Amino acid sequence: MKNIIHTLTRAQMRANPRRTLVTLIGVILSVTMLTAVFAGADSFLNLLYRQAAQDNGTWHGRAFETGEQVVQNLSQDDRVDQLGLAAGWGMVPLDDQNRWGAALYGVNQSFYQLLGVECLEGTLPAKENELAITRTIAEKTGWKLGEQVSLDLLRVWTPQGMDSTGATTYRQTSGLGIMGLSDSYVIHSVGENQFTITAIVDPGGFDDQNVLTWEPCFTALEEQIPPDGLWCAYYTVNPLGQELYNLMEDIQNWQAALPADAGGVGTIDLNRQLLLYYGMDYPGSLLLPAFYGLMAVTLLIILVGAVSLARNAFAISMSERTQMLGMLASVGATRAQKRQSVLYEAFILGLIGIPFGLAAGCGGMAVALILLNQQVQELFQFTQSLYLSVRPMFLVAAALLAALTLAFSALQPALKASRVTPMDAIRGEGQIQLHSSDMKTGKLTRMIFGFPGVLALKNCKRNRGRYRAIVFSLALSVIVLVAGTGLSYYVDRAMGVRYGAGSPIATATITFNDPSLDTTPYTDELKALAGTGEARVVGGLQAGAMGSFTLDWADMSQETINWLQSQTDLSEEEDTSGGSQSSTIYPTLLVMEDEEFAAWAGQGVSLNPDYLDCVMITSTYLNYEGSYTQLKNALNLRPGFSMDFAQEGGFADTWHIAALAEDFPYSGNTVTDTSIDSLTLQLVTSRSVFQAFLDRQESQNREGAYYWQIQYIHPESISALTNGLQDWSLNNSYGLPAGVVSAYYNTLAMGGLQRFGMLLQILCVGFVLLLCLVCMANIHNSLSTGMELRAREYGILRSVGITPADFRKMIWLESLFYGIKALCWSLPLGLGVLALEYCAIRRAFQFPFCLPVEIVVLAIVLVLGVCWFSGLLTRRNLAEQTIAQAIQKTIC
Amino acid sequence: MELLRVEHLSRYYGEGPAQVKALDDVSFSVEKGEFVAIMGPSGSGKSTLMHLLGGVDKLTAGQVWVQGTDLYKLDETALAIFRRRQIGLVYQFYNLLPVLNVRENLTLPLLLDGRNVNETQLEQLAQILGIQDRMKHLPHQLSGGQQQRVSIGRALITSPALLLADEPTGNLDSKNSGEVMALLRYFHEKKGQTLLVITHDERIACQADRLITVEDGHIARDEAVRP
Repeated sequence: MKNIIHTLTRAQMRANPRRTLVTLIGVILSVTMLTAVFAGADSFLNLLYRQAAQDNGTWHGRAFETGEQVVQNLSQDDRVDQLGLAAGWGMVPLDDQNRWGAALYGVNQSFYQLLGVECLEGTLPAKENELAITRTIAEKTGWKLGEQVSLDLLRVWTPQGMDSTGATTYRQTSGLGIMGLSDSYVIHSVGENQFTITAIVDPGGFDDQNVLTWEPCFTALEEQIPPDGLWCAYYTVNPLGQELYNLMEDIQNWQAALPADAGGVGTIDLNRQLLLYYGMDYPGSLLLPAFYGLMAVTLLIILVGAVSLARNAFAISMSERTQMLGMLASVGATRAQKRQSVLYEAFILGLIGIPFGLAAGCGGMAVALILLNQQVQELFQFTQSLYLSVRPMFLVAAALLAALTLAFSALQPALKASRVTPMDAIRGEGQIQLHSSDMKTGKLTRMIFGFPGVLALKNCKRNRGRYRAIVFSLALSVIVLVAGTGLSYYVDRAMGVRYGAGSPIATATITFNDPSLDTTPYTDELKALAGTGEARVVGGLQAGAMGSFTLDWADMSQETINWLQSQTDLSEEEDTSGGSQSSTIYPTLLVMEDEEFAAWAGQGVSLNPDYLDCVMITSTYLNYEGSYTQLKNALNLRPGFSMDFAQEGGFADTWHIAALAEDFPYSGNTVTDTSIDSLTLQLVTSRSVFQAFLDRQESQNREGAYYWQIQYIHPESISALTNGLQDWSLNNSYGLPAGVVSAYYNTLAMGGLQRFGMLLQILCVGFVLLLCLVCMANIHNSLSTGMELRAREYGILRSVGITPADFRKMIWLESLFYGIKALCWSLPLGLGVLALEYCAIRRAFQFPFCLPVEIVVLAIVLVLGVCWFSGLLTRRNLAEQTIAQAIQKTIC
Repeated sequence: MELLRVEHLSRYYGEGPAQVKALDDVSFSVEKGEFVAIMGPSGSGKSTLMHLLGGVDKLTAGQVWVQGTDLYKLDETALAIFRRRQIGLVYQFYNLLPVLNVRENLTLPLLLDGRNVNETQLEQLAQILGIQDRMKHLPHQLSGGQQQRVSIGRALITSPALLLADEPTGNLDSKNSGEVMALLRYFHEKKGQTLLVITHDERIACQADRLITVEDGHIARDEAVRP
């Protein structure tokens, strides 16, 4: 039987396509925002999964360097789905000093799969006398595919501790994780075996120690494996769930029964990063609850906005259909039937809006993730890219939540609809009961914004619930933005004190001791690494290479003396003894490329190459027992000051201060670990002056340590650069050319706190963006709802003589008041949070309080921008109707 | 002295065969201080005429002069300013702004004009309207008759040249209708207010100086009611 209510509802929706579209857009926006949260969260978990699969493999749990009994138990356990095994044959030194070599494992097929071992050339070993080697082994040894090699295998035990009798205890190692063979090791020979090389492989997740270590090589796992070796077992369980933890516990018990030197102290752990994707973590870990909590809070805030948005949309639609509902009531429609009308509309809109919202949410998040990819890769040092990847169950969850949101949002308008009487419809009477007290506005509003401002504020306040929801969302955006970016700002400042501002992502440093050496090829090689991007070359002499001198406290600033005194009570003792107070000063030298030096120091500074002519940095960064500080003008040294130095068996020359500069040109490890009686003096010079210095040293047959460092500021590809630096470092590990003392790289310039700050910034920006979207949609919706619902009132205003300019001003101010009110609440709170953050950070890093004005300005601009843009959208949508038409509108 | 002149005023809706001529070539004039009633059956074009006289609708053809100003030659801003100073509009459904209290609704044209409110004048007006103790109330807290009195007060607060009322008693009971008409007559007689009232009620029409009857968009009759 035909349902007349449904038929009427559909007909009304068709009759006013514009209104239906506005409602539909409201619904789609709500679903979009919910979907975006689910899609974003799942994509991030997926990134963790892929990175874990690449770094570690796809196993769920492992028993690393365990005993054979554990492996036997595992192979018979029903809970285990797939078991990858690597049995340690022994280790093979492959260089003359026994510093490096191969570790041979007999492995099964599942091992290759679970560890992601990739066959680069040839075929994987199928028999016990076949061998797969890594490319590194191939390059270092010159071994080729098909070549027969003889491996002289050793079993190695490293010192573990001491027993109760004081005797050293040992644990066996399968090879990974140790460097070289030490005299303190216990070594047994296994014997010599012949192998044919059949494959060159990438060891995948098996090479996860992240240190220079012995390279794994693989043969097939058969019966001939030497006994009493260590085993590495990688397993997956099916179904994945609580049984994984039970199995892990069982492995622990099995392993506890083994002797410590035969697998009893092996590592038992989970592939945590991968398991997070499946919602599993170590029992008791708070990581997943925190992640889900963050997601829930975000969802809750989005939900508040989404409900408000969808409810507005249905409210407009219902208002428009008041007449129809009244008519229905007059011909005997029951409350339930009237209610059904609105709910049926919600159902139809949900049917259309949810798929669109899902698509829009995924699409929007796909773009957002692409934009965030580089930052996330830098932050976590991931090589995998962040892209949209969302599991169907997450989409289903988003769709269900969206459907619930719609149902909840439609409920109130539906209940309202059920109460519409024929007289309401005829009179077109008001939707909202206003209270005189709610409608009060201050004199200040009229004074500042004029009467259109008063009207606008009253309009804002007429629906107090919505007004408060929008102001709350906007205020929350400001607080989150100010607190989040503020913390990041203070962390940056703290890191500036710790490392100097603008720390590079990675550095590679080569220290030389021969001043006659042409160092350019070394730095050029590093500058030519794949993925380098923007990089700069700096050089210099470390503290100590230029000797030291003593400076009285009288020649130091009061701030410096205070700091020195605050760090120790030694000064008090010295005070009472009446002895002179002084500190030892160690000059350090930074060398910049000539052009960069000229650009930094300015044209007024010219250096004399006849001696080490330098610019002195007046800011000193100090670390004393974990407390970092920045002292300005610490030492009362002026241009013209010079000092000779002559290191025994090292460099000798004269350094001279040509000019002063307040701060370091750019980062390096500018901070000095200090003690009460020593300070560091930072000097900067140009490459040509430094080269002249090296030439003088060469002519005097002097040798000393100096370095060149490549600072990778903005790498094009972090993963390519990291790989390049790893290869470079590996090459250097087999010996350095004459004149080169050391060569190393460092990619950990970003400290944990800084990473946290950056993560916080990304989260905050994402969160604030979402909140702003919600606010914008809500403000726009409120205003456009107002336009529709209050068309008649606006008509009256126009008929009474409001000018178009004043009318536009009123609409604009209506949107602006949300922002102004939000800022009034949130800025003081945000600044309060900033002050707390500063106090917290100041406990470890001392720097003067500074208000990040740009962040406050950004928050104000953001909020007012959101409001202005919403108002703009609304004004554009103002229907072109005459005053007479507006007044004749029956809705109110 | 001629206050209002209407020449060849037309308002058509739609185009082609579906075109509706709500008003077609209407001309008349009103003297200052005159009380004119406009009557006619439903759909005859009375309300359209009032909207056009008030400058709140768009005309198809013709001119409307109020105090020598051609309304439809003014730009939107100038028309809005002219309307709030020279024309008062009263509607059947009061059309007060629900967010403004009685005082603010009454003084709305002054507030929009940025003018100060003369408190004595406002008090007198409120007393005449009988709403002096309702000044802080919101419209929905008033009865229909009270709301209409506020609406009349709002229309008269700037002492406009012309007061246009569209069925001002159409939504009121007979007691309130009588009170509203007494008010309108009061302002007409005591203050010399020029009035144009659209009505279905012959008793109201009888109180006017002149009666214009509109039928099918044309003026069917234009006659004096009272000598």
